[in-house]
Amino acid sequence: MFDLEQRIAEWRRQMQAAGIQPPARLDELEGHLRDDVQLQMKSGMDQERALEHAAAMIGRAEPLRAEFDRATHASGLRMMVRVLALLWLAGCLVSFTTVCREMFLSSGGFRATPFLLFNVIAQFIYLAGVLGGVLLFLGARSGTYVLRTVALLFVIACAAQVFDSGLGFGWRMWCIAVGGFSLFTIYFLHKFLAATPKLRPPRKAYV
Amino acid sequence: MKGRLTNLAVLQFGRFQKRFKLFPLDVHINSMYSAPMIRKELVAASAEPLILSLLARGESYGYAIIQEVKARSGGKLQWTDGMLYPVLHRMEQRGLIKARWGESETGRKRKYYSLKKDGKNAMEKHHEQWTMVHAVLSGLKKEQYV
Repeated sequence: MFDLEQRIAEWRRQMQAAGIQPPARLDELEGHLRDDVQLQMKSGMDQERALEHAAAMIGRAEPLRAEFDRATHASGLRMMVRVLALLWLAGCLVSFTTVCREMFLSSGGFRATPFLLFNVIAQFIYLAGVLGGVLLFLGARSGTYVLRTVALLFVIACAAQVFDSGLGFGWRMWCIAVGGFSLFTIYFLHKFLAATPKLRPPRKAYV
Repeated sequence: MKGRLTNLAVLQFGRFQKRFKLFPLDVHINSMYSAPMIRKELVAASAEPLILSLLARGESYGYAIIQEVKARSGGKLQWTDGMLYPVLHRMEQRGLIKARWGESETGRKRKYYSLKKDGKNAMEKHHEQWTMVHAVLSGLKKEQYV
């Protein structure tokens, strides 16, 4: 004797065994299955064939799980990008305020030192980093371009300091860490852009 | 001979798609031989604008979306039903649509989707792009018959 409820429970177990999680996702798929079974039965199919048809229409569990995994991976990637944006935002903001304090507050106020030009350039880079961090955190694609440029400048600056034997060991190690993080940022944002291609808006002149 | 070659090419393409999963929405490979189905690439590319446009008319759920698309396309646009849900999930994660759990007519739990503001903007962009493609194609077709 065909038992529809038992067969649906079996189908659900198979989906779960294939790795489709969480239960809410299975509930949604089961709802879809039941809707289709109901519709097929209304059109004259018997329960067994209706269930077979509905299960076939939903498709096999493995490709479905793979597709869900891909969707989850994309959202995980977006979350990581936000964390990265926050790190850059915080880092550049702290660096900007630190250099500002050094330039204007320490050693008796503002003085034109030989490092002034470097400091001013660094400040612009930090500000660009803050801007890139904010844009990226808000989800603007332009943020990735700004931050990749800033990260590249960081890599160059850090590399120059790592090879400067006049600097202390601790500072050079810090430069290696920052340079490494910048390289990671460039690589990660490149991967992120490749994984989330964007359709370009139409050029109205052609319409 | 030409028909057999086409069938063979479609079969090979189906195997390739199954293995490498080129497109997020699957269509029923077997039914492609008999009915004049819409190309797989086009089905995949049209999934998001279609879902957004359907949801712009009001809240809906997965099964209803699929049925609506089937009905409107005269059965030519067919997705593997289950593959709709990862797409919906992805769109939800991107903030284009939002979901809520409600009840069906029979009292069962059912997930309803509706459009968000970003989804509306994305839909308008899609419409512009598809209109542009349509305009170019129509223009070229008209030129052929002049």
